[in-house]
Amino acid sequence: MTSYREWDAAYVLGSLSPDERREYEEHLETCESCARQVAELSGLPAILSTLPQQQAVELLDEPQDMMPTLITAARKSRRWTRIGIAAAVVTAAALGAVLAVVLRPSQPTEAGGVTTQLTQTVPSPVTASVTLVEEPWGTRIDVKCEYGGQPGGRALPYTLFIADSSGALTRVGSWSAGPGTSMTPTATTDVPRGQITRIEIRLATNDRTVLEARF
Amino acid sequence: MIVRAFFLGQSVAELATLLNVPPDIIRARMYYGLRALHLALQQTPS
Ligand SMILES: [Zn+2]
Repeated sequence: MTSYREWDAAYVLGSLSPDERREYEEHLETCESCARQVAELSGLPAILSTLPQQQAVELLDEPQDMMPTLITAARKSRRWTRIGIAAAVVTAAALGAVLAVVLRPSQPTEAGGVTTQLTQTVPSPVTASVTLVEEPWGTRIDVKCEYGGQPGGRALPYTLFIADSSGALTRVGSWSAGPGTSMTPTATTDVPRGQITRIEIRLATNDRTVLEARF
Repeated sequence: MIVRAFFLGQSVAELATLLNVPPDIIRARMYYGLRALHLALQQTPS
């Protein structure tokens, strides 16, 4: 027998085929838990529809730049003014964060922050992701840095830099890592989450950027 | 997934073909995605 438990979202998004839709609606008449799930989600399409379609579609191409795009869109859109700019910007930011996660389902969200995979600027065995967590005093940056290869090689020093919207570049942390190891350094900054425009990991020996993420 | 379904009007079947994953997985991604959105909006003040 078909399990309909996960059909609710496709249903409210209008994404089921006419046959599936009929089948699911028949099921809803007999299944209280599915009907309750649909009721829970029923307000979301209205919220989604306040986002301009053009902007939403552009998000598909560049999910990592979604947040600023959404916020700018929210400020420009006349639709938003009806619900108030402040509320709109907050909602768009939340939506941006969620859409980023939804569009890249391999990247987990941790409590209070969004995890972003850094891109390699030069080929290297090092991969990393950062989780930015908004704090009352600024931003906490949790780094997860994996160094591929067999353990036992020489450890190298790495530094973490952030760029903010004024263009300033600040060193916020450092650690050393060798082949076959995984490091999870945490850095902090007084720069608010929304003003961090770029994060770089550099190899300290030559100050060359090996990984970066742009926001 | 949500953007594709809602803004582009792509169906579960179309997305399954396009992304080369079973329809069940598409529905599940929508399921978790919309729930994440629901949660984020509830946690948002105002
Ligand atoms: Zn059911």
